[in-house]
Amino acid sequence: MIDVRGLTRRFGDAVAVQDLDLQVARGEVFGFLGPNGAGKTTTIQMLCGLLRPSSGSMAIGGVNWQADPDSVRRLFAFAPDTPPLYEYLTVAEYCDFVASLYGVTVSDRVDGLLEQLDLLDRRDHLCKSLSHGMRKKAHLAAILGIAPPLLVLDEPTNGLDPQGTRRFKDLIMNLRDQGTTVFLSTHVLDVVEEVCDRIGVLQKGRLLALGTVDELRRDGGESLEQLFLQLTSGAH
Amino acid sequence: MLRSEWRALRNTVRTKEGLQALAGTLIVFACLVLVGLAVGSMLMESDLLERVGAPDGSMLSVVVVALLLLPALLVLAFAKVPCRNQLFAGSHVTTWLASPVGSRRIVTMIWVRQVAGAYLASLAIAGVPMVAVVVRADLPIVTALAFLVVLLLVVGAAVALVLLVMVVATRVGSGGRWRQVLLLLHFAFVLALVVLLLSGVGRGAQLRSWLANVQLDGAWIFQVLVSVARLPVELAFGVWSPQSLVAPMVLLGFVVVALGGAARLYRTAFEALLCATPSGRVTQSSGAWPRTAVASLVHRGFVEAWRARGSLVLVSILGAVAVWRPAANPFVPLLDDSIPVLREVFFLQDSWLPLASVLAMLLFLGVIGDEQKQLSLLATSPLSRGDLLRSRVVLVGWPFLLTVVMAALSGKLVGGVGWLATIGFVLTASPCVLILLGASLAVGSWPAFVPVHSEVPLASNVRSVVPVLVLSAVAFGLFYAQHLARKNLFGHGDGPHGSAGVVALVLLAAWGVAVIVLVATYRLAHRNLTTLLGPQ
Repeated sequence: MIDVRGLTRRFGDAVAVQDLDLQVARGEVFGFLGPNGAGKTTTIQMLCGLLRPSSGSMAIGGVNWQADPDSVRRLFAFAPDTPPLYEYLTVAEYCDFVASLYGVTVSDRVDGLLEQLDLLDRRDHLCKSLSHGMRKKAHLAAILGIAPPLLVLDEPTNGLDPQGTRRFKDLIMNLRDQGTTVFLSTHVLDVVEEVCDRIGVLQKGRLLALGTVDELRRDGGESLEQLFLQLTSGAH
Repeated sequence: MLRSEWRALRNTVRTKEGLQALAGTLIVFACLVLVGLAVGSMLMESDLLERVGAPDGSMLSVVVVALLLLPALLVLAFAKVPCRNQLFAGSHVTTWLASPVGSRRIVTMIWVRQVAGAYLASLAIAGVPMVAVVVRADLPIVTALAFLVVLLLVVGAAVALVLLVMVVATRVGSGGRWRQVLLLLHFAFVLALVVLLLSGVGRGAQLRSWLANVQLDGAWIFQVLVSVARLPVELAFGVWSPQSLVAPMVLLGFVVVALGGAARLYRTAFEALLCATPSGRVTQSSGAWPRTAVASLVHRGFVEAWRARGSLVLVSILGAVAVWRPAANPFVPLLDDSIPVLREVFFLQDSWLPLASVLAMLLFLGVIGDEQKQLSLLATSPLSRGDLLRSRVVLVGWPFLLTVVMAALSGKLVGGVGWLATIGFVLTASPCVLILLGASLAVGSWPAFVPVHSEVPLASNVRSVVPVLVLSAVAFGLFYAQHLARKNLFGHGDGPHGSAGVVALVLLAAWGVAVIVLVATYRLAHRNLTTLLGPQ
């Protein structure tokens, strides 16, 4: 579903992402890990077309970004760390609005989408009145309505309460069962361990490790936390 | 806390972004100072002052300026003026609140910042014209000092009112019922400001005679200061070449600024400055949502505009009060003093046309300028660049269109302008609006001003200030040209000045140029969007 080759991004003299090669299969849940400043968000921004790569190529669903960006945009939906809500729309209206951008109608499914994320009681509240966690849920509900083949999620559990995190994990596993590919970056190793089929660990713009949690465990420490610490501290 | 504030400011200025932000702030201040100088200068030259009964006009002008600028400085003090945002950023207030520092000290600190912000803004916009008028008028020094004291008192009273509202808001928190009460207070306060404004214009002569009785010799040091201050002021006056026509335009601009921004003042005070949580009030969702992208984007814009800008309702109410003049109208005694003056100055002197330009400047939102937070959604969706641009044409264009219609109607109904002049206004103003719309599309989508990509080099202050300044200049120039054309072609409604052939030719040329400019700027905006959001 995702095919990234030689992806590099420089900001002046600084190299944020260097020569990144990454493939994510259809229906796979891929966890993107790394310490702060490792280049995760930069990679995601390039993947979503929000940032131009300095070099390298990207393809989503077999379609090259540079060659056919319009088709690529139909294949994925993006949930940034800061949800891009319209403050004066209600949650239900926002779901309708986002769906209309993708040429989809969700009016008859909005309640189900919101129920899935425990947000139904906020259906007719203005987005500006939502807490950070609820805002994340609202945007997630909106893009779930589109049912894209690929979901790109940047720090999706930031601001979610334990119940919300649990629901999110269940949701991701359901999506995987339905064949949706999920690319998520997070610092919450518990989420990665439970829902991700494979993980990639990024440090200073370079991919340090790539594989399933079990595969990486065999090469490293006992827990994912130990493995992560070992990988990222060794790269310093 | 003061030290940490100072360090944060110092570190900000040391970075490239900080320097750019500072540059944006200085640009804003420079513009405010220039506007202030222009206002002071034009008031001196305008016959507005004589019309309201001031023989020499100099003293009254000070009062008029103070009264007219009072709402404006309040707006400036609490709106998101870049300088205040940059110098008095408040995001770390919550850190202070969670710290062991005493809450009294924290509240004092916040208040000091707000008062300082209000005073800085007010001195920039109200103090400069005051000083300009005082210097220009060669008033006795103590009289001049008395004027300045009046200014400071007026500003102080305004700040005190704002603080009072803040106190009330802090006490009542963010409960739904109390929010309604505060909203009513807000409307009452703005209404009081408008009444004050009108009565100040209508009864300024009385204030003038009172102030004129202050006649004492001044200190020599102040005379030296006046002499030094006179030089740049004279230079500025020379550059601005004051004309009586422009004075009411600027005054009207301030009135509009005050009306349009007053609601924002309170909303900001309640929700941002006081960290009050917005109420979780249930809102009636709109019915069936449009399915096509353009219709959805336009619908979204109108829904949000309606919900976010309650001040439009207030402006409508005030407009109705001003126009509605039967004997039962409780404002008649007050309006009898003020409306005739305003009517004569703004309408019969041909100066009512710039209303459109002022409103257009205020209503400028840019192509995607008001959706910058949503760019990650818009840019990653399959939304066509053409659809986005078409929706923005509607959302940016409708305030312009509405402004032209309202200006024409107000000229006809309130100003007593003839039908021919009214039609002339519409015919000559519309091409200007088309050009302004195109300019808004092109400037508002200019890649350097829109932070889609993180490599956008400009600091946010420059990014937000420069487009508005560019468009303001375009709008002013356009409508001034339009005014001259309309005046020479149509007059006041007592028959066209030029021959029918000349009128038709000029109108045809104006419309032709407008359409060409609109098409060109539309294409430019499309290219900008493609650069910003990627090709399709």
